[in-house]
Amino acid sequence: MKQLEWVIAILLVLVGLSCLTMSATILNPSLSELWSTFFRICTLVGIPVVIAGVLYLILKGKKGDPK
Amino acid sequence: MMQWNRIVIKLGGTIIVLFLIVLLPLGFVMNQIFSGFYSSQAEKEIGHLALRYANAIASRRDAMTVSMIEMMSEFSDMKVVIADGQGQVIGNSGLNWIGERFPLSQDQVSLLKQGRSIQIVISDPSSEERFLGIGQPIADGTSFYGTVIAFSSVNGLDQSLQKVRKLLALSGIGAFFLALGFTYIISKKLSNPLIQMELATRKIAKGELETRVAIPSHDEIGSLAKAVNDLAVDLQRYRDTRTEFLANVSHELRTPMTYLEGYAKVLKDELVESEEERKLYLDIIYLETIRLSRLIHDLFELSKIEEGKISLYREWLDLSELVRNVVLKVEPKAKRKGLAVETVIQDGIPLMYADGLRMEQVVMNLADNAIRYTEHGTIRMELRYRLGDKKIKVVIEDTGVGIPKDKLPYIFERFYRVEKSRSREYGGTGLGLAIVKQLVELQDGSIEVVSQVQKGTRFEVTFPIGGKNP
Repeated sequence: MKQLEWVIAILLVLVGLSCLTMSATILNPSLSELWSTFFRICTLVGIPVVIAGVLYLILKGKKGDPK
Repeated sequence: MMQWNRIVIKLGGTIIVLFLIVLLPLGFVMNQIFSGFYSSQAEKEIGHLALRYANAIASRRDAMTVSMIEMMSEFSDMKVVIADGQGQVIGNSGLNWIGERFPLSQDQVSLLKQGRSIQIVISDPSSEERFLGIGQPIADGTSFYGTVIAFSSVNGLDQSLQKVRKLLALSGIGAFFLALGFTYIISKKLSNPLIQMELATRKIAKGELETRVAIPSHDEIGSLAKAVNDLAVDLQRYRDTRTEFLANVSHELRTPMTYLEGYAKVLKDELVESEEERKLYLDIIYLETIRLSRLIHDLFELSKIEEGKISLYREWLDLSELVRNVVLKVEPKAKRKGLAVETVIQDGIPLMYADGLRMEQVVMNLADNAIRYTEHGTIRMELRYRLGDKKIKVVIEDTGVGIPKDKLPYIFERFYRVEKSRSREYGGTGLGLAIVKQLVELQDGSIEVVSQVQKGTRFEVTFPIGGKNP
């Protein structure tokens, strides 16, 4: 994938994350709340990604060895 | 510039649609949950308020209590209406437009008399503001005195709900963008191997057979890539074989043609010196044309077999009869060379399901070869049956010149001759054994050869009985 495509994808993800963070905190706005909510959302997004990544590496390792 | 690959859009689009299929109902349901939650909270509040006031009035049913409650409500900006059993308004806070009477239906009164609460919706005619009210009965266990109805503005509720709805929508949009970003990455990564293969296969189709696809994954896509690579290798090999074959064929045809041209020219230009010479040259021309036509016939046969355009007409054959027939046909030739022919046929050979014509071709060819390459001694034809694995074996053995061990693996190849000059002498085309091998394998058989120079050669052809038992 080329540079530009990565940039666009990451931009979309960031926009999404900011919308989510904003909607979560706007009723009780505070800077610290904002950041902590943002990181919590990022963690929640990251969990399935990390699990998928770990599974992928495990499967790759498994297939690689017997071969 | 980015490339808009259709498969990426298809895949990505599908994932996004799936995401929306989940997101939209979820959004709606969340909206309903929030609305429901807010309404039920509001109802609870005013229900409790009305109950407290009703109980207070029920214990001390005097005008002071009522006006006290009126005042409390006004201070706390609550909207309350107190009515007696006949629907007469005896207390009002914040809803002055209601007037002297508060109409209650029979059902509502009976509900109140049972000690249950009632729900009322009214609207202010001047401001169009709508109110939801919960009415609790003023009762002390035995008698029913009236009702206290506490109200809450529906519009206010709606306004708060609107805020929540907007935030839900914003979070939905955020989720959508998040999905979009990840979907873009994933569909690109998943479609990449397919796109690579499409490019490579296109190149191979154009004739660049050295192209290979490099996809290391161990799933079906990796297997597809391997298949494409194998195809390219196969095509390359086929192309090379074809070039070689054409070169071979043109070479093989050239030799007899040279003879024909040469001798014909001599005859045409009347450069012959004697009748004997003339006859000799005509004989040579005749023999070469025979050889040429045999070559062409063999070539045609072989290519038909190799392309699978030969259809076998299988039937139940008596191989012992077939072998005996072949022996009968070749015996004269053998006798002319002073060779003996031995036939050994085992007892109880079962019938074989095969193509009679082709079987005869195989046996005949091998027998002919045996005679051709033997100067003295015996030609031996054997027919055996192995009960263990139901296989019939035909053996053709000679005491001829033999084939050198290092040349043995190649004898079944097209145009291969151990000694070019010798087979030319014997009228061979170089295709005989190639055809035999193809015909044997076409009928699910196998052929083996053992040979020793100056001692002899032994061909063993093994076939399964084939077919279903008669």
